[in-house]
Amino acid sequence: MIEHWACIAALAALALPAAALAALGLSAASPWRAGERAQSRIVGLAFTGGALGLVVTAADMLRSGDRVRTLSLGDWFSVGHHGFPVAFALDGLSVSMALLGAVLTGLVAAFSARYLHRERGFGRFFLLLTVLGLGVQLAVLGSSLELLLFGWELVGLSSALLIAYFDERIEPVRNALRAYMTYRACDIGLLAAVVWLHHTTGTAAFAQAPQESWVGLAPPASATDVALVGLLLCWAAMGKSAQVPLGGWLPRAMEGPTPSSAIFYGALSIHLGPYLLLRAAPILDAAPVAAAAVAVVGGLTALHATFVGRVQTDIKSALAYASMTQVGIILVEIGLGLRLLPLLHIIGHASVRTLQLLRAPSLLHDHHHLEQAMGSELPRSGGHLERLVPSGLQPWLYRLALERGYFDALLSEYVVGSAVRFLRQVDRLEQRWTSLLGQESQESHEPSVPAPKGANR
Amino acid sequence: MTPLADLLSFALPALGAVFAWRKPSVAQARTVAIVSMLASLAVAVLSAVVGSAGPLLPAAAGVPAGLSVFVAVIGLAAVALSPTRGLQPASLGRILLVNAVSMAFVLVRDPRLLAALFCASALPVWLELRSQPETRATSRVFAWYMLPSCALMVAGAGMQSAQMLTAAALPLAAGIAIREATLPFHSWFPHFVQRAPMGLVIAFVAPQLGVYAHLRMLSDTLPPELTHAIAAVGVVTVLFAAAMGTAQRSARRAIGYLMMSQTGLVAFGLETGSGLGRLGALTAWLVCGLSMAGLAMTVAALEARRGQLDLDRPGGSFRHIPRLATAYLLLGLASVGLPGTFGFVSEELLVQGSVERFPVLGLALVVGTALNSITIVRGFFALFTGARTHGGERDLTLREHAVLGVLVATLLVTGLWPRTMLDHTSHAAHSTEAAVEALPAGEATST
Repeated sequence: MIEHWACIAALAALALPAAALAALGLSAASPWRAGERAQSRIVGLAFTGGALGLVVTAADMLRSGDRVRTLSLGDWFSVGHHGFPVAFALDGLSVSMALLGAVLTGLVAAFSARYLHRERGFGRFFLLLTVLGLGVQLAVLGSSLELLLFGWELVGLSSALLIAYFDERIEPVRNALRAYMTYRACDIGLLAAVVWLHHTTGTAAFAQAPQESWVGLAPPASATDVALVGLLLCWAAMGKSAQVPLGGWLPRAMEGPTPSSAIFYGALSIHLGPYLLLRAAPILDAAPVAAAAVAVVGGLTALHATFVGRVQTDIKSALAYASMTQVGIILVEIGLGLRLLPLLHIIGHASVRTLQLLRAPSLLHDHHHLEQAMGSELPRSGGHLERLVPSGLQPWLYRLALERGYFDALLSEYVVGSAVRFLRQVDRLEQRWTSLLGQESQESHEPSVPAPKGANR
Repeated sequence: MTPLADLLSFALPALGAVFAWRKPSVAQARTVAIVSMLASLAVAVLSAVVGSAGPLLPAAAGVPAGLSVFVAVIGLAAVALSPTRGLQPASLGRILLVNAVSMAFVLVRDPRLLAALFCASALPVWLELRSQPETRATSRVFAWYMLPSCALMVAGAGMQSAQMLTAAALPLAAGIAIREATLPFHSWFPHFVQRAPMGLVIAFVAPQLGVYAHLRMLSDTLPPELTHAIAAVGVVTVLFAAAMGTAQRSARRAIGYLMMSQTGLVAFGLETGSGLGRLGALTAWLVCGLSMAGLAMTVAALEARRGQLDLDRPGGSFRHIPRLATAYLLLGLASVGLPGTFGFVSEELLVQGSVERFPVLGLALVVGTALNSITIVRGFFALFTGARTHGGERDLTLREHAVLGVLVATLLVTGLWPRTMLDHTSHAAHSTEAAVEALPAGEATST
């Protein structure tokens, strides 16, 4: 009975944010908009209540010694034998991540109530923050890859829309589109993994293997299928967690308001990639190729981000690269077969990075405090590297770091750019064909205003 | 009562067309059009609730009940959201006529009547395009594609009526493929969406009469090779159109490729060979029709306010037209499977339905959907953000608010509580096979 009620308490982590989202959505659509205070209280209370519910569940699981509990709410919809089950898995991984998500979202909501006071998009920010919070809870508490996908897509959309928060400037909007395109390109990996798992094993639900403390994806029987699914999930994680060569969107995402940068790219959204890989741990264990890919990608990202982060001139970009470095190291840990250490690393990193990003606007103030306390200037870091690297090589390396390893330029120009040029050529041929059929002159009916350089593609 | 309701549901738009034609101004014609479509919608809802089982227009087994409601909602969106700029009263009359023919189409079973109505729905469109100098070239392109499509449908329907079922499959499939802008018969479609009045585009395209024709005339008569070919062509269309949509400079042309991609989804789903895939296709049909109708009319409303819409030049008016922008985003994302909308449910069913027989094609579907979502979001950012200047556009009027609100609410409510809609549609997905088995042997092949 107590276990039953403790599990239901965990549902508060989903139900309360969902109710808050409904309330904020209805308020935005109606003429009677809720004020700033009401909106921030609704969101704050929702995530506080969710966190309390999770604490109750965690305490009860510790008391009883249960490692995994499943809470099933039946099928969302069913057709014949096929259904979309709504079930939640409560284990050490999901409860920890969900608690982290609820606490940090609530804290950021409280911070933002003052930080964004009288900002034009206050309501929009809190609505999208609630979408993020709900998405994270769904993704980490869901007991199947489909439910994880549900939350994953909500997080991606809210992330892109918050990067474009200052929507009257072109740069945030361009950066938001870049982030969204990266997310969607990599979401193909997650969707494809769902399809392939259904094709091979018939299910993408998480199950608890013997001797395991957490639930995870059951690997397919064939080694090729296991490797394929593992690589697809690695691809999915690379986009969400800004791993090389797809990480160019992350520093650009710092255009969004500071609280959203903290919660998305310091705390929650960026760690969904490692979370996905931890859930896919049985698949990585069965597919050394996929595990190696995860470790290599993480290692290269850590090296790249450390290198590029050294030449950043603003604090948020520097913190973005620091975040990328740590997530790269977490992926190395996962690729090497560790399980508990990555989870602890995620929790510690998320907490510290959120603090650093929330303090970023006060950086100069904090520096003055430190210098006053020390009585002298703060020492520079990294001087030992400058002594090790030959002086002739330094300008070249500096230039390479400023250009962020040329990954962004390569992707923009040779991958996306080539594809767009090809498609526009095909489109011109189509228009010529229809002009011929219509017996009209060859002028195009496309907008004749020349596109501004570097405009949205 | 119910046969009378069915008759009224398509007679009312036709009657409305006659009255709208005579009005001296477009605004008055639009009012008449809205009233007639509201009346038609009310009658269609009544008919769907009571159940259409009369002898005059027997219920169509194998298709979702209440299709006339679906067509009526699209017709209402087409007239109520039509800007008056660039239209004549006769234009609204022709839109209503197209809708009336579409309403009759989804209530009919006989192949010859279906073929006749298939052709009849294209005629007012061609006449409207011919009537304006700026769309005369479009009318020629339209005719080049629709004439063969109609001829093939008539030939196929004739063969089917003469019990030459296997021979009829190919001309019918080709005729439907042209109408549904399936590769390689697609070039007319983006051109049409780019140039024609958007209300006309929606009335003609959104109901996807080709899908209904497929269900009524092609299901159970296609040889397996043709089934595989249709599924493959459907997926190639999805991928091609999705890719093309991401690179467009014109917002209208991007919408055209989006719609083309969605029709490819439905074509694929109908031939996956599984009940689940078929159900996914039927639900995708409904989602695409409603969301594309709303999205396209939202773009038309913005174009009427701002002029030609260029995706390379930032629009920057979110602050001033937030509701229009939000409607665009929600309707667009619903069409590409945003979680929480009915599009997510239909995508889930389509993908699950394909894993058994066509897993690789299912993967390609996933890629197409991802590309479509990029097109939608790129369009949102380009049309509504990125600049501080504002052209004085106004946000949604009460009329636009009401219609778009209904569309968005329908997609969200059915997305969160999909059971009713699914029960309704799954009966149709499985009833085709059951209906064929239940009939006496001589009649079985004509269903």
